[in-house]
Amino acid sequence: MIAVTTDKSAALLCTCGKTLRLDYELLKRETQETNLAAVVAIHDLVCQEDGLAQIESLIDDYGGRLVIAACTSQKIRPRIDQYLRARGKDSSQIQYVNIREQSAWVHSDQDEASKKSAAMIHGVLACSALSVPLTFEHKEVPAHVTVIGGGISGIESALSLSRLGYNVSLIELSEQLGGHVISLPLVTPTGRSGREVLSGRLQELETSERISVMTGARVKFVEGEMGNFTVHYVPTKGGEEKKFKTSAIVLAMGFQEFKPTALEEYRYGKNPNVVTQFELSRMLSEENLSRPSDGQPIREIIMVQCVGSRSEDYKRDCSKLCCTFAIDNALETMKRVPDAKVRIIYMDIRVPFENEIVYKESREKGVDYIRGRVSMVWEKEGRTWVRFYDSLLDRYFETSPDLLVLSSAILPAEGVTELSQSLGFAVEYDGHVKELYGKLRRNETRRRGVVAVGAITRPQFVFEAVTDAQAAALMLHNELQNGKIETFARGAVLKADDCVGCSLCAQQCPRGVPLMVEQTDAEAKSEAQKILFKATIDTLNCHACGICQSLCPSAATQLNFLSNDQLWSEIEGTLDGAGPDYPITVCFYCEECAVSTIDIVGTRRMGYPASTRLIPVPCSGRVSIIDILKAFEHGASTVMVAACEKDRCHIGGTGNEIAQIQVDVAREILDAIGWQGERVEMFRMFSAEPERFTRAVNEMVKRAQTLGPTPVHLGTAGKWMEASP
Amino acid sequence: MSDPVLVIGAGVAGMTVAAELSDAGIKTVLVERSSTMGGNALDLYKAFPTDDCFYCFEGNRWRPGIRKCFYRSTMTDQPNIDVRTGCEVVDISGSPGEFKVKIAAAPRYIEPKKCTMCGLCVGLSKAFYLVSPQCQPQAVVYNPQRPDEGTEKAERECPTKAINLQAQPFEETLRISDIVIATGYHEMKPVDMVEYGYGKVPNVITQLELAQILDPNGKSGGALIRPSDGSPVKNILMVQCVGSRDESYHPYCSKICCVFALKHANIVMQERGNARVSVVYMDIRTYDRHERYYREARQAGVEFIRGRVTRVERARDDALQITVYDSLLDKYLKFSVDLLVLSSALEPQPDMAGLIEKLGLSSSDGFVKPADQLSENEVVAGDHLYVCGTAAGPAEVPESVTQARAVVSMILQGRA
Repeated sequence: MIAVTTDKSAALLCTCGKTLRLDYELLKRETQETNLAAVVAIHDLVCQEDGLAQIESLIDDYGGRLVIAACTSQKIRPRIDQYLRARGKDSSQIQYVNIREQSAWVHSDQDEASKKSAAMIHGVLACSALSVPLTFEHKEVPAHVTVIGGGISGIESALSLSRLGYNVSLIELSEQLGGHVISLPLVTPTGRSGREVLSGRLQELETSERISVMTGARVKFVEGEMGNFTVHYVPTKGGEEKKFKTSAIVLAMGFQEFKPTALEEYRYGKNPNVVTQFELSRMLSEENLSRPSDGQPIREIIMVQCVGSRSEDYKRDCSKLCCTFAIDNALETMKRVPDAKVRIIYMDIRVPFENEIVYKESREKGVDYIRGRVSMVWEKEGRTWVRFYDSLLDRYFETSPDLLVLSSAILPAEGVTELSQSLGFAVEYDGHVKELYGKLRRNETRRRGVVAVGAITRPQFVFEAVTDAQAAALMLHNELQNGKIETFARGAVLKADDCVGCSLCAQQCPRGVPLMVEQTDAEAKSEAQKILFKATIDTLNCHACGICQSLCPSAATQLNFLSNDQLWSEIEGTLDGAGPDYPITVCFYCEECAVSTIDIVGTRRMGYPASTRLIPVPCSGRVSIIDILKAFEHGASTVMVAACEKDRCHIGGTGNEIAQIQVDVAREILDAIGWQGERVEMFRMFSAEPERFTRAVNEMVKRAQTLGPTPVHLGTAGKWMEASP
Repeated sequence: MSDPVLVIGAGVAGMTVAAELSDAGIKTVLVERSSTMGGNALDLYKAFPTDDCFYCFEGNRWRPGIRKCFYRSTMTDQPNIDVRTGCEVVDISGSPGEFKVKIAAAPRYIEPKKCTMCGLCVGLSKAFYLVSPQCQPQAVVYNPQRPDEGTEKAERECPTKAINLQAQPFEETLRISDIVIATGYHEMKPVDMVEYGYGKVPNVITQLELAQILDPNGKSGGALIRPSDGSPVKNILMVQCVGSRDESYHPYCSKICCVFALKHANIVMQERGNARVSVVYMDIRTYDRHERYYREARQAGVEFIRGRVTRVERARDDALQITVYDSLLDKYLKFSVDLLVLSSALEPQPDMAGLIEKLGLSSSDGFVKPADQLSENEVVAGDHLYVCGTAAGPAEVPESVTQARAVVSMILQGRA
């Protein structure tokens, strides 16, 4: 039984140029019989000019609610939105049913495909009846960004943002700007020193009226959210904590070189003639190349690669830059001491692109490369001795260099974890700031309004850090829009009255949007019942995945385009007719990887049984245990959730894992009451492998046919409620 | 209102530039030579570093979410993007900020905005086909070399009248403010390297060709088979640095081939059953966190041989007899394998030299070099000229995307 509503929608059915094998008379009749459609129109080409015009007139004539049954919304929705937006019409109450890729193209039996299409249209009409229009909103925030870290990436960030019209506070821990780069004697491929690379930027920084630089200052913590952060900082020399407001944060803290004192075989920290590669860079750029123990000239150097890198004990991964650093320093050394003998002991020489040519040049100039490892270092009669193994010659050698230089691992700067606690960005397994998505969203972090650039995300060459900073400035500019934000309020809306203060939403939101706010003037019947903290959600900052909604125990937070009642109505409507004679599999699919996979299954005409009903959700994390149980209540025999691959949730990063937990718990509940947990299953989709979906759906249909619906309902859906006194 | 920005090449980098500029309200003309967007990434199957399908494309303000499937990038329906597939830039004149760009368009047999991919024409004639279910624009393609008896019927019956078999090529000159070079790379076809027998001996392929064999949407449905006879592959030998780090071909390192190769080695060992993989290398360059691929490959049992392939012979049953010099053992080893996969160099697109000369840019080994090396602005190629992606040298997908955003950032910074 569908709740009685007065808010009927227009329904528009597309025949895709009369190519879809569906019984449109039946679809029209059944759609009319739902009593949810104000009018049912059939059009041959909804996506073309004439069809778009009809959409516009249906919107005008029937108040905005419109259900379009056509091909995948992924294709036509952008075109329809653009068309209506250009004409000043609201498209936010249009709902889509995919009767092409999800029905006509994959089911050979026309009657079965028509029956399924009619049921899905019914469901979406029920959902549409409860829809509300979304509004275009404006918000003003300060056009101010804070950059933490004054190395190359921080400086470039500040300059880029200032050129885009933002005021910038640049906070640097040390007394001097320029980070590691300022001490590099040579930056490949420029052929110039780090100081030269920086000089133009430092000048621009000084003259820029939009940038204020604070050196010798440490950020303690940050409160608030995008558009309204408060940065708390202290002078490193001691003094009072200060604070200021800002709209976004750029993390540009750079790297630190691993100090290999724990690797005892190298005698670092005990023998002054054992130094790190960056310490050698300093000696070279300060024109102070001499033996640290006695100031004597350097004639022979041994460099050791991968000290702490590519090692399970210290840093598992490659530090990327050290090979190039070593070669640069070898060449710089030979510029100063032309007859110096430099040997580099390596495992693999890793120099990308044209750095290979510099590597070759260094070989031609006489740098000696030895594939092997250092086995021990000791001191004898005032000399440093090194024993190493050459794996190409399969022999051990001993030698006595003036300087042993350790190409030490590149680690993230200190304080990442501490800052993550108040800023809410995620930290990678190696301690660097974790990027939102390693392929396409490298500069963004889990937290909206917080981006990361340069070596704080991973070791980077200078030019890469510069590119990173320029790109991240764009990402923030996209968000902040010079402080005048205009966007659709499409996302979670929180009713504070219903909030019980559990903080699940704040803990689990993949983008850190909900904030827990102390209730100062909370009125309560008694002190014991008083809720101390309640959540707030800025819908304009929301990514609209619905994870908070599926977790909220009091239904306080709900997506404004897919409320609980909307989804439950859709489940009920789409399952009309399901029962023991017609075992149905409901598939909740995310509108990310799963929708793509299902669309491709359709485009490739890969058939599967028509006893399936597909219901879209923005992210699988939107599906709650209750949603799953609702499907059984209304007569579904099995329920599947189609989501993104493990660790590859598209919308926020963790929605699929939250969904997995919901599915697991639903299974346990079903098992506990003897209703067979295998009725529910989670499947991971991958659009390059469409057979994942057909395999999954075939399995769940098989189970549906074996198990039938759950015992709660007698006959068709809903009747058990009427049957019970 | 200034003139539009021209983006040459609609691969990962070019599409990102166009999408970001469009969001910023700047008009873009996106020119792509082939009939579909996506460039080399279309053939990658799984892309590192995330190992998910290459189809991913970034979301943004109008496409909320972190990323979207490629076919949903809706490039053809963005108000600020003028997509020109099947088009080439033939001449550039004018001055920075006021370029005049002449574009030659192939005949537009199919109007992409009209095509609904209903499949009617594909059913009637073999001259119509879909490049990929994920192609962008979402439209069929017509091959004028293969008309048959159903072709004209398809034109008549197309529900949207999207087909025009009489379409003619045409040229057009556009006024352009800025030019973004995003022409991508070309995988070297090592036909001249006689020692590998590529193009002569069957079952010698490149890594990009292996990616297409491994792709479940490909001809073999993802089954690892020998191209010569379709029989299952039991042994694979991969060779690194084919044409890279080689004075006779390209002196530079192609940077991503080690990761690319080991990604394939791991897919083969972990997901395609029983095949064994050996990799012949000089240095394994799995830089940064990509070291993971090397660790996993070693754990999965991939065999690594430091050395060079010296000879490839065709044996009976199309098996390959391969002689490898092992520099650690200082010995020659013999291998009998079903498939030899060459990690072939990434090289500039063939017509890159012409474009670089025409625009007065500098070149680094045939790729576009930054205008001002000292500033380390890698995406700025000249006055109102930008470069991103593999047109500037070998790059990963994420690096191409970041560079593309940096280009847009720099264009906006210049206009703010």
